[in-house]
Amino acid sequence: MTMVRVAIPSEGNGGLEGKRAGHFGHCDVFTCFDVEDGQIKQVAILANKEHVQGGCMVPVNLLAEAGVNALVVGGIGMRPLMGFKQVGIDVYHDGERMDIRPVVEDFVAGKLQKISDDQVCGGGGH
Amino acid sequence: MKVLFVTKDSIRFFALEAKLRRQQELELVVVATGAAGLTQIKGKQVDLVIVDEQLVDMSGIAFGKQLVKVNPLVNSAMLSTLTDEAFHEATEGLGVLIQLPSQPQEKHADALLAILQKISSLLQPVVQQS
Repeated sequence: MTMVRVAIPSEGNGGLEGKRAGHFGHCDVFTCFDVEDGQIKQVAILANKEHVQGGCMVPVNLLAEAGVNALVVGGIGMRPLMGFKQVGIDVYHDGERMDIRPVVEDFVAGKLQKISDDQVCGGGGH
Repeated sequence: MKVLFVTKDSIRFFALEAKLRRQQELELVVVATGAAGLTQIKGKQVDLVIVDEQLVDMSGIAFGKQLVKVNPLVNSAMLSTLTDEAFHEATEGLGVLIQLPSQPQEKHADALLAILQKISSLLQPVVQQS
């Protein structure tokens, strides 16, 4: 079965027992994990880069270079969402839970949905 | 650097353009409509789009919303008379580099180039140290 590398924007040092960051572009690190045959094979922490206004493609580029295939966000703007689509990274949405582990478990179980265009941040919509 | 001006009144961009030309080798395209602007960026490499507040066929913000769907890699700046807060609210998620006044000056060209340089440096791959 194909391995999937997933990234979760995280606060502080991240990790499966850590907390998610509400806005992916401002997160401290990305908690990355590889999923194969329904199992978590490996967990790694990827430091985010400095956030610059308009620098939406910086984290897109960072995650693409790290071989990430999927991202789980609580919120994201339209431009980075389109950027992730362009580089082939699927973006999933969970806007409720701050703890990383239950979100990871739901991803592995196939319970998370891909984000839709009307769930993005902006345009006076939130 | 390839720059696209989307405006029906490019004379107001004169000071900005002059400073950009002094700082960079500039390939400049000017179009008056949002539709023409979107055609210019579709599947093409454009380093910067500067869009006016109101175009012939749509608002600058409406153009920005379509721009990110047509080519999210393109950086943009937008002329707007909105307050900072209202502009932020209206353009949130669109990744606009900077809000420009209705007649941008040389200092705005400097600010734009500084932001582009910063983003370019952040896009460089991380060097792994052994």
